[in-house]
Amino acid sequence: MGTLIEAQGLSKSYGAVCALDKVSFKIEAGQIVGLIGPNGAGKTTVLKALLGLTPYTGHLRVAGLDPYRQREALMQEVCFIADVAVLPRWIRVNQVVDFVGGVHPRFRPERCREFLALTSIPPRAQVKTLSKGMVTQLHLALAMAIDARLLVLDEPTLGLDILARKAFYEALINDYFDATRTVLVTTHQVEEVEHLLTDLLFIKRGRIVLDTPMEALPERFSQLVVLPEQAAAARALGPLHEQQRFGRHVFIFDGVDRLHLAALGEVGTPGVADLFVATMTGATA
Amino acid sequence: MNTLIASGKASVESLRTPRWKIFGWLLRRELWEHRGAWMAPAICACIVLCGAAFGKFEFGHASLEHGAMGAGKTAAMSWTPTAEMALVALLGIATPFYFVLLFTQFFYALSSLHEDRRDRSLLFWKSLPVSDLETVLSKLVLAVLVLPLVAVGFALATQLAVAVVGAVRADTLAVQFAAHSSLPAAQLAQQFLAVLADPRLWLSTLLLMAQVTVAFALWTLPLAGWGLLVSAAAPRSPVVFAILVPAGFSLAEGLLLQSHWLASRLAAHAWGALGGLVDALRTNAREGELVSGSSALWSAVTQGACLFAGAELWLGVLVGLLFTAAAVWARRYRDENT
Repeated sequence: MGTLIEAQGLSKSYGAVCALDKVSFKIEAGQIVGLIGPNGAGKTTVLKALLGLTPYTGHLRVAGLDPYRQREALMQEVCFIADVAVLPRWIRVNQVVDFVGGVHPRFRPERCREFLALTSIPPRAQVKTLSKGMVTQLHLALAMAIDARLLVLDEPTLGLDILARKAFYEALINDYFDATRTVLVTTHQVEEVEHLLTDLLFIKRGRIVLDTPMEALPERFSQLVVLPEQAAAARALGPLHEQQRFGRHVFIFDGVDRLHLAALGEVGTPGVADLFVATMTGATA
Repeated sequence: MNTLIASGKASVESLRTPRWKIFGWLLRRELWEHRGAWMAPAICACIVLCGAAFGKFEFGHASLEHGAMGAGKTAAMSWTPTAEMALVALLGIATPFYFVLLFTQFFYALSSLHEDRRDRSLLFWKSLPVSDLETVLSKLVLAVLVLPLVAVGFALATQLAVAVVGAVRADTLAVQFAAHSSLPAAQLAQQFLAVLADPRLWLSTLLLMAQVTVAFALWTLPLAGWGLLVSAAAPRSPVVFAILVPAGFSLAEGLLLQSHWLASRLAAHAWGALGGLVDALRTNAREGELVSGSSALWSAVTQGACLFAGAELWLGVLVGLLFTAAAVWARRYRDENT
């Protein structure tokens, strides 16, 4: 299987604004990677470059193809959902299923209809009459019925209620994902994806500031909860981030031995959301 | 082993949808989106039919005047309805459909590559394994082939319907015409019915309409291509861009170079188109050569071929194809930075 995405020194600027600044990363087949960053960090630019929708400088290969020059061949391999809330407003549900089935060799209409049967979407309804959540469900049903090696999802659950979000990620893990599939998902709603990711990519102002497998997180990062008396001592160890919670100080450390920390207070592994806040607001990156 | 390899190959090949099938789906997609494509010619047909059924019988009137002019004033007293006159009338019925088509075609082309950019569904379409060339070509084919076929279909149906209305009203019309003719009304009515039932009339109509429609599509190809290019490239309101860009260029040319090359080219093409089509209709109709046998059929085809002579027409086709190529390029490489 090997490497599915390889980016080296990937850069892109819109006029004077630098959207991507020499970004390098690798995604192997079988990974579920979360590309996480605040608005305007360059997530969408990365995705557009991956899908050959925008020119860039640097080296980029997706499924062994140059996305900008070999876009049509690439679209046979990947499935891309840029903005799940957007489908052509005039089209009907059964029309869009028929159309994708007609043009996409890896699309299985019966599978899509199975997904749709689980929703309350009327099969003959026009997209413009559907709620935002329904449009998202329809789009996801289409995507999940495509037997693609790479599924790219950009903010897939934006605008969905919590039940629909949970149902979506459950379906993604149970019905879609297997060892031959690779998923790249961008989001800033970190909490709901953290338990299903295998790898994390944090992006901030056009740069990758963290690239790590999830299982390496406990080795590298630790969270320390201390009483105010120990705060100064903890601060001396050079935390990535500090915040106060219920009268206690919560520190996040990068690469500090847990034995040192244990002397000061409660040690644990930070959640991805806390780590995200720490990385994005911290002075280091 | 061999079978393994063979089956492996087959499965790889089966993963490519045949291009013609994709194209069929693209055309179907266009018809789903532009269901209004039927509306304009349908409304046109309704207006013409209402006129034929309830109005004064303009069709009969027109052919009457044409007959009087064509045959000379002396013949006016011995006027009788002929298939030639009916042909002129039927082509007259078709004319508004071509004018309506000119507008629907242009506005369709202008919106065809712009709507999905405006409502941001562009990324959805671009996520499918369909090349931008195929997308743009499907819209060109709809504009210069499918829309004209729809228009001609409605025009033919309207001609038939008007003929039926005419046949039903034959007696009333005959009384009206009897004043201009030496023949009695009853005989006129009978002749009138015979003309409408003449297969040569309908064969000629079909043949002429086919030629004119092909010529129409070729003459309007540069306009359709321009519409596609603007709809793929304009940042907003393609209609404004489609008009302002050539207007601006010819104005700048006039101011800077003191010349009117662009404006005169545009005018030449427009007059060439209008003149070519009108001439073709008029000469064919005036000469009133109806297609009777197979040799006459051939002569009608070769006569119609003069529609496709002139360099102006083919220059326009070339320009239209260049615009279309530019539209493909814009569709492919324009970076929608939204």
